[in-house]
Amino acid sequence: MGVVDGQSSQNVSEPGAQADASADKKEESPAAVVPDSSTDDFKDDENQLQDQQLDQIEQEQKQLPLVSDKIPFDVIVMEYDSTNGPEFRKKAEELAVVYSDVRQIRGDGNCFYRAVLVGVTELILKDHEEARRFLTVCEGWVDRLLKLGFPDWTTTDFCDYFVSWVKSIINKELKPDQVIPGLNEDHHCNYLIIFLRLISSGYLKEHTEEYEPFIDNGQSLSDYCCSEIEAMWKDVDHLGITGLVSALERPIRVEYMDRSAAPNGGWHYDFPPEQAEAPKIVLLYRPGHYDLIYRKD
Amino acid sequence: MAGSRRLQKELGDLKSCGVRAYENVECDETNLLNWSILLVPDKEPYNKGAFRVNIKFPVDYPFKPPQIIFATKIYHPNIDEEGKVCLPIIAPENWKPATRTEQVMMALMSLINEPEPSHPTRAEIAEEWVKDRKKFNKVAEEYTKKHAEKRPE
Repeated sequence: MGVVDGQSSQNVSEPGAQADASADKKEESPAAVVPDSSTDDFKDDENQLQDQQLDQIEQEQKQLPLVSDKIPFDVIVMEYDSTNGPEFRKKAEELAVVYSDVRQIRGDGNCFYRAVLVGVTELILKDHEEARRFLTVCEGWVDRLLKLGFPDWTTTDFCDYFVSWVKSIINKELKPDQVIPGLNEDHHCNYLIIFLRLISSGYLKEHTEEYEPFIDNGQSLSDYCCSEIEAMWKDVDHLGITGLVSALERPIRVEYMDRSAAPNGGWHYDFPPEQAEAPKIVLLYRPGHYDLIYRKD
Repeated sequence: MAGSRRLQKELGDLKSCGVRAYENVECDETNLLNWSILLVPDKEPYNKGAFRVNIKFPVDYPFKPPQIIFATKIYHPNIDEEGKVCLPIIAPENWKPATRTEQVMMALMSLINEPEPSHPTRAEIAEEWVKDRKKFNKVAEEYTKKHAEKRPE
């Protein structure tokens, strides 16, 4: 199958991903049992500088909303011109023929999960039957995660939070016009995002034999899920996408600005592949980042 | 705040966990974000005293990890003079929101009992631990007697 290819555990580089670099650094040189203290000081300075940079990036990110309003797709087209990206300009113009709007998602390492969350939420707001189906799938995940050995009540807490949120949408306890704006509340949205991360990891762990071969450098699937999916603020890769769409049983399409990034070298890719009809949720991928886009009516 | 329900439960669980090494938790219930725990290690060279650590939870807990600072001085390769401890489970890049404070305390106790000389914050102590364990134990024990708090009955 072509869902996860050689790119699988490559982390894409959006600002939030810089934490990965420091994680890698720590794993280095296990052989040096007693390091020289002078290099240690140097490392401290380096870490401090990196901390400052990370803080700065975080502050810059926070000036943007987590999820923007729907804005015309032309905004994407206008980001590129013949000087900074003639290829992207051309591709954006092509996409503008098919897609009318975009919701820009904050680049904090959660953009993929957040984009899917918004997409799914819009579907269940519109379609009551879909909402019931979605609720059943989500409710089923509590037991599935516990069976996989996820820590008991913290996991249950995250699941309960998500499920009661879906219920409050279905029974209109939450006013429909407040649901999407509510996704801009940081703490609330974090609770919803972590649920998506847990079930994405859960699905992959349920299918360890199938997915473990796609992981590079001999890491186990379980370790991979722990460090790349269950950890907050880590960017997604193809395995994570496969995990989430399978866990939610809801296909998505990803449009690529850069053909080399697509799993099949094409301009778009459906997860899971070969959908009979085009998925309703569509994400736009630009190197290191996902936004949510909307087809013209 | 959605995180306070969780902190309340974690606090209660830790107080009643029955593990002598870290069950002495104090917290001003009007501020659930700051805890103080009296660690009571059972192994040499730290078993002659008790060590106070402050745990500070960020406002966006559990999505960002808690920080641990030793208020009691300790002679240990992985804990620096300011009381900062290098504990992978709560490093921002490793942190998982489903991790409970009790698991963090278990990890902390195992680091205290089994230093990790390959990632020291105090290289000279790590070197001593590797090359001259007898001397390390002696110094650490004296240091404990001098600086640590009295162990609870």
